[in-house]
Amino acid sequence: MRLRGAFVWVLLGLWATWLFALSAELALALPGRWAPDLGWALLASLAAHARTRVLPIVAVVFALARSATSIDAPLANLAACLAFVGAFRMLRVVLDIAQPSPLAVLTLGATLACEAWYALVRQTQVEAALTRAALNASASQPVWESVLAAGAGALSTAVVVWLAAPALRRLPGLSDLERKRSWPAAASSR
Amino acid sequence: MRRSTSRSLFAVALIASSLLALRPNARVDRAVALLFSPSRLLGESCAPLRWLSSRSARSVQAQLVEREADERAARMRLHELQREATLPASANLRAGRRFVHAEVIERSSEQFDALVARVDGADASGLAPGMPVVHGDHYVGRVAELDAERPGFVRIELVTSRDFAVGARAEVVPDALAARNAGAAAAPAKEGASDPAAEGGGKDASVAANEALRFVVGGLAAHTRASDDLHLALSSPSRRDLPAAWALVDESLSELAPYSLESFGFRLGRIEATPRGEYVLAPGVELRSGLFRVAIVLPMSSSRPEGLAPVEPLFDSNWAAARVLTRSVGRREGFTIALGTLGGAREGAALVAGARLIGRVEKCGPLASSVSTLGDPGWILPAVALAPQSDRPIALGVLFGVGRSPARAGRIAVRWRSSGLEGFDVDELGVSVFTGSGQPGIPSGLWLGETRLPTTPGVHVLELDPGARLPALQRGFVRTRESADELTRERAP
Repeated sequence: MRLRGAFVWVLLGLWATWLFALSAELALALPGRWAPDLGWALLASLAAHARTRVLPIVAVVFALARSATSIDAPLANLAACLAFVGAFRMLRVVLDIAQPSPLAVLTLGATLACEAWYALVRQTQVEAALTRAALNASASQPVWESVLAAGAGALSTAVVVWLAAPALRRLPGLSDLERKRSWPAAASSR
Repeated sequence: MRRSTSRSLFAVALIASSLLALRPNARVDRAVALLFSPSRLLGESCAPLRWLSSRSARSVQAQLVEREADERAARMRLHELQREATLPASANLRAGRRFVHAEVIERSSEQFDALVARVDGADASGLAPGMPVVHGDHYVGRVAELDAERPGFVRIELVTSRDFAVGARAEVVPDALAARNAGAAAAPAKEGASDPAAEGGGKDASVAANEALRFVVGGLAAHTRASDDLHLALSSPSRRDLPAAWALVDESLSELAPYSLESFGFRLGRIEATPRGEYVLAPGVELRSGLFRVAIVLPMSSSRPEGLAPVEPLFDSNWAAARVLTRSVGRREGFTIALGTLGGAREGAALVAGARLIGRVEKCGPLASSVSTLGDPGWILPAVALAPQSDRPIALGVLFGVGRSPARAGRIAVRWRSSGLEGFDVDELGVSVFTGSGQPGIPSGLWLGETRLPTTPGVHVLELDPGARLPALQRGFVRTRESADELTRERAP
């Protein structure tokens, strides 16, 4: 049983890494900034349906996968994944985010929030580097510009979730993470 | 209770990781890198996905191989011209002196007025603290100390240092000479082509007329410390009113200056009056970030052997092959590579392909590292430019990467603060851009791309054309250390 549990986490790590990596390859191939972030799409699908007990571990596994495929700092990835999962965990108690439309809207917001977070971390790093180099720290890019630029990608991520969330959370090996009760029952138990 | 504990732990982990991401701590980062080292295995699992872009990777590799010979030749030419530019243009300033070329390796982050430079040859024999350091006809500082742990490395104290003091005298430029200088500036001649020593460096009338006009130069002028315009402080003038003139080094009155003959006549800057009635010096070279190569002035009697070969970092053994594991997902542009600290990678090191800079290592784990490439917003690099038909390298100072250009695909937007390019009668100049010196781990003269350089002063956004689709690259070489001596130092207890 324990072996099977470990196998689920390994599979989750692999799926998350492959989807993040596939997103990076798509960004290279697709014109403009419309490439969806499939890793966030998978995380949104799982965060809406996975058992509450496993959500922190899901966040840590996604942080590991994101760190394997991103040049952002591992701690920034960990914070982003924990916040992503935490937001879904709170909202699914009061909203039926299992339905495609609310889930897609929430994914759009969460993806933009993640982009804002990464832009803020990057801005902090750049300002520190500019200060070390005795340069004007105001030269760095404002966070809102990064978020605006990420809008198209976030929108296409939301569309992917709207269309394919059930398929994503039923990827081989991931069905064990899904909770068995419907959302009203789960919500009433809190 | 149990659920509440779980929620509390979750909240603590979220807050702690957020705070540490915004305020990084080196020890915590190292520990987290160790904890996250299994991500290397996850990265390796993405190999089949790299096949998706294998065709464009092969195409980029072919492009780079095709251009490599040209880029290497351009680098060699740039280095020759840079070395030539460090020597005085004036025959009078060259006479009776020997010059040892040194490349700036780093500028201390704590002490902006100190440079670490590496001289030609294997060591610094024959050099001594106090020797003057110049760039062309301009005096920039003194040798402060020879690095005992790294033979061949010297620390240079710049004239901008708070404690620096050097004797100087004013040298009025007569109208005729000023007109000649203006003519020289109109032609694309080398910086400092006018001859201060010939203008009166010896015993001519203008010197005699201004013989008593002496003062001390050193440190930054008070009003420029917080501004972008750097001026040198001038103190203890022998006369209250100073003319618009060049300040030349003259330590002949100081018995404590052992190299006064060697430093005599080099330019410190042009005397200017501030609105507050103070006098300051406008230096003739960009001391803040444009000083990439200097020359140490030695007496002719020096025992140092002549003709020592410069160190060529591209051909030494301090490089490790690196394979791209994954391209970075998200807004940032970069790679994760299959080379970590165990393989010799270190933060800030260059990732190159041939003689071209691809990016620099940003974070290192034991087994893998992340590399931000030139298209990633936020990089800061010293750079130098060279026009194809010109023999005059242009020190650009520091470039700041803004990211991919929204206007033209494939171009990289770069912010550049210019104080104006003199001697060019065009509005824009087509140039090749290379890395400058002063960044540890990044050799100078690496190809960055081509751009159009405005000649007017101001803050410009340049569009750098790297000439190849770099994000598709799949392998390169990472600089593992600066020199073999560094390895010795690292292993020392």
